Formats: sequence, structure tokens, C-alpha cells
Amino acid sequence: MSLLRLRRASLSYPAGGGSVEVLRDVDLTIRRGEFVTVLGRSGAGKTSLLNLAAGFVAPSSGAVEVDGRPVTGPGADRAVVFQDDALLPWLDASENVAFPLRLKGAGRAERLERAAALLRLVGLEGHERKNLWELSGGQRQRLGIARAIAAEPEFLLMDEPLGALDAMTRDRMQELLLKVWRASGAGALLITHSVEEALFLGTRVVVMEPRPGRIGLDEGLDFSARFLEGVPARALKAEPAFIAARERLIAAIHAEEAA
Amino acid sequence: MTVSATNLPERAASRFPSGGRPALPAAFLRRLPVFAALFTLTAVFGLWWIASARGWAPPVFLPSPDRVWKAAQIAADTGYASATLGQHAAASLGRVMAALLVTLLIAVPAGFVLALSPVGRGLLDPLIEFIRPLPPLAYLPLVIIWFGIGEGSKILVISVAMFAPIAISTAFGVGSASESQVRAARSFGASRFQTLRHVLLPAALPSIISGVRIALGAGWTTLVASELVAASRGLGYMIQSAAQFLVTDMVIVGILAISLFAFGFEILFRLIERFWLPWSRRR
Repeated sequence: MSLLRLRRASLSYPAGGGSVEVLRDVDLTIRRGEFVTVLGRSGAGKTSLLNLAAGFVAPSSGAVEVDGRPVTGPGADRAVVFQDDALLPWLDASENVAFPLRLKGAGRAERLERAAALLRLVGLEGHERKNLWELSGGQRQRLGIARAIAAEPEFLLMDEPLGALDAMTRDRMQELLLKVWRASGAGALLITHSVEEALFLGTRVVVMEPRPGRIGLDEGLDFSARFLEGVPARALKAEPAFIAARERLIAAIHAEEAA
Repeated sequence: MTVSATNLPERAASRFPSGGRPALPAAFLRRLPVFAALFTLTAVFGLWWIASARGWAPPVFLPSPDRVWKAAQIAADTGYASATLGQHAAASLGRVMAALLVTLLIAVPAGFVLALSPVGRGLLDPLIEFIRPLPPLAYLPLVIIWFGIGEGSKILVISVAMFAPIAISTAFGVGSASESQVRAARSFGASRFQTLRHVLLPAALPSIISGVRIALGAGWTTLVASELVAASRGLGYMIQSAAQFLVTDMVIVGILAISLFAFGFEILFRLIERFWLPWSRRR
């Protein structure tokens, strides 16, 4: 079983002669098949946490490891989805989705075949030849997710992937995301501003505290598992347990502000 | 991103809504800039024709369109200044194309260095800013002193003029790839070279094409200067030869030939943008 692990990871940037401490002693483990959602106020270091896990930046101290081996940079075992879809507008929908395969040297026939299957997975069958500017924001984000899955990652790292979508699209995308994640078997790390989203998607939720960013609360959840067993999303989100958890998390996020 | 003479008036015009005036057909309004352009062309040609027909200026200064057309035929058939118009044009076109090729090979990588390496930027910036504002006629003598009067010097002079626009446009284009596009590619296992090849280069292509358009403008300008010295063929050489003997109609033939080539390239690059880079205007 694969493990993505941050061990006492700290991160500082030089700034104005001194340095700004963004993260301090962050311990976080993500297993394959787990879905960890990260909440926290702006500036709590959520994105820095993802950048560390992805290998975009190296920790100032501590370590980032996959299965005990130190992470030295970004790699196909940790595919990233961004809030802006980060797609490549000169490629059509299929070639965008198959982009990770192109990097591995796959031929066109193989790319198109795999892209067709992935587009079906995210409900975009029939859009294979479409250009990006012919697709809606939600459709483009689905492409972004399908593309990350095409890399066959051990871990799926997502930085507010649904943040730019309207509320209706967002609800449908959450359900889609859970199904895609389960089908892929990957471990997931998702950063969000939405407490409801974090509760609904996560098998675990983490709340970060700011200045310097560190992990506050870290607890397990079962709403996504129950959704995948067939409980409707609206019913789950209306449950007293869900609402209580939501209020508890909101309080935790704003705890320091009040203090 | 690119500001061309044709899309500029459209944008400016849209800031002045026509208020309560009765609406003209939309198709007509959309083509209005085209009609305006045709009007200018017709007006200039008409003025030229009338001025020469009425004898407002002596034919040696302003030959009639008719005489220029005849001169063009003579140049094309029997030739002028020891070569036909076609041979002059081929020589010039060859120089501009050779210079463009050489410049692309150097300026595009230089643009990448400018965009990707702060140290590289520091190294190249002074050179580019030194070359960029220099008029070709100013460095032409130096190039001749250093490299002689051969074909290489002519191509070099044109290349120098083309370098800065292509390098700067390339750097701008490389910068237009978003950080998330680059990072996403890296997270799918792209090597640095693959990121360059599959993300940065395609993202930069529209800008590179724009740079080439600007560079070709500078190239045609410089061509005439480069053919001032020790050329025996070329449109610039033909113009120079004709000017020395006040054969004004032949001068105009040369000018029109250059402007036709420049116009042809402009059309070519717009077609390339439309069919090869349709995404660049759709973001």
C-alpha cells in the first residue's frame, strides 16, 4: 500500500531580508484509497502543503516521502489538478486528456482509445474532437480531472478544482469526483474553501491553522463512503451529523480569529 | 495580444456607440473597415492618376500609373539593371528568407533563455537593447568592414534587424504559458525538455509568428540598405540603380514589388494563424 507522507515538513520563503515561515512541522500521511480534504483560512498554507506534496517546492526542513523514498521533484505518481484547468488550448479534448500518455511516448491510436474511455468516465463522451473554447467551465474541469487520471497516479492532488464553478455544477462535480477517485483507486488530497465539500468528499478532513501554517484538527469521515454505497448526496448533507460536523469545522477554522 | 492595423479600429469604434441613429445593416457595419481601406487605396491611386494626367508634377518626379505599368512590363520581360524583375525579386526574397531562417535559429532559443533564465536575461538584455534601436544604415559600414561585401554580410545586416523582435516576442510567448500549465505537465511526469517541447513552445508559437511578422517588416526595410553596397541583383539594388538615373517609374516599380511581397507575407501569416493556431484568438 502506497503512502505519501510529510514528516515534520516546514517551509519558509526569504522575504525582505528575513524569511516568512509558511508551514511549520506538518505531519500528514495519505494512503492509497484515502481522500484527505484540507480546510483552512486564506494564508493557512493549504496550497504550500500541496506544492510540497507535489514536489513543486522542497521543504526547508523535514521530509516529503512516497513509500519511504524522499520526493525530489514532481512526478507522474502524484498528478495535480488546479483551479484554473491548466489545459492546453492547442490540443483538442481527447489529446488534452491523453497528454500524460503522450509524455510516455504512446502512439496516437493508443492515446485516442484511452482518451475515449476516460471521457466516458467523466461523462464527456461525444466531445472527443471538441476544442477547449467550445466547452463550459465544468466540462473543462472534468477534462482536467480525466487528464490527471490518465497519468495513472498513485496520488491525486487537487488545489480547489471546483472553486471556479457555479453551485449547481459544483454539486454534480463533487459526486463525479468521488466516483472517478474510487474507480482510480488513488489516494487523494483536495484543498477547498468549502466546508461542505470537505465533509462530503473526504474520508478524512484536516483543518490548517495560519501563521505559520500547521495542522490543527485531523478527523475521519464516512459521508463519502455512504454516498458511494448509494445514500443520496442531498440526504447526507441534510443529516444532523453532517450539519453538526459542519458547524464544528467552521468553529475550528475561525478559532484563532476569535481568540 | 497582437495589435494589428486592422483590428485596432474595430475596438476603438466599439467605444463610440452610434446613439439614436437609425441602425445600418449589421453585415454592412461589420465590413465598414474594409470599405474604408478600399476607399483609401482608391483615393491614393486616383490622386496619383489625376496628378500625373493633369501635369501637376513633371513626369520625372511623378510618372503616370500607365508609365509605371509599362516600366514593370519592361523590367519583367527584358529586365532592368542587368536582370529581370523576377531575378531581382528572387535575389531579394532569397536574402530575406535566408536572414529569417538564420534569425529564427538564434533568436527563438535566445527568447527562451530570456524568458526562463534570470542570468540568461541579464546576459542577453544589454545586447538586445543595444542592437534594437540601431538603424541598419548605422551598422552596415561596420558589418562590411568586418565581413566584407559578400552575400553573407547582406544576410547578416538583415538578420541583425530581425533579431530583437523575434527574441522579444518569443520571450513574451514563453511567458504566456501559465504556471499551472507548466506545473500540471511536470506532475504528469514531463521532463524539462518535454515541458519545453509540449507546453512552452506551443504556447509561444502565436507570439513567435507575431515576432516574425514584425521582423519581416524590419527585414524588408533593411534589405534596401543591404543592397546599397556591391550588389548586382535585388529589388533594393534595382531601386538604387534607377534612382541614380532618375528613372522614377522603375523606382516605383521596385517599391511596389517590395510592398507586394510584404503584403503577401502578411496574408500568409494571417492564414497560418487562422488555420494552424485557431486557439490563439479564442482564449
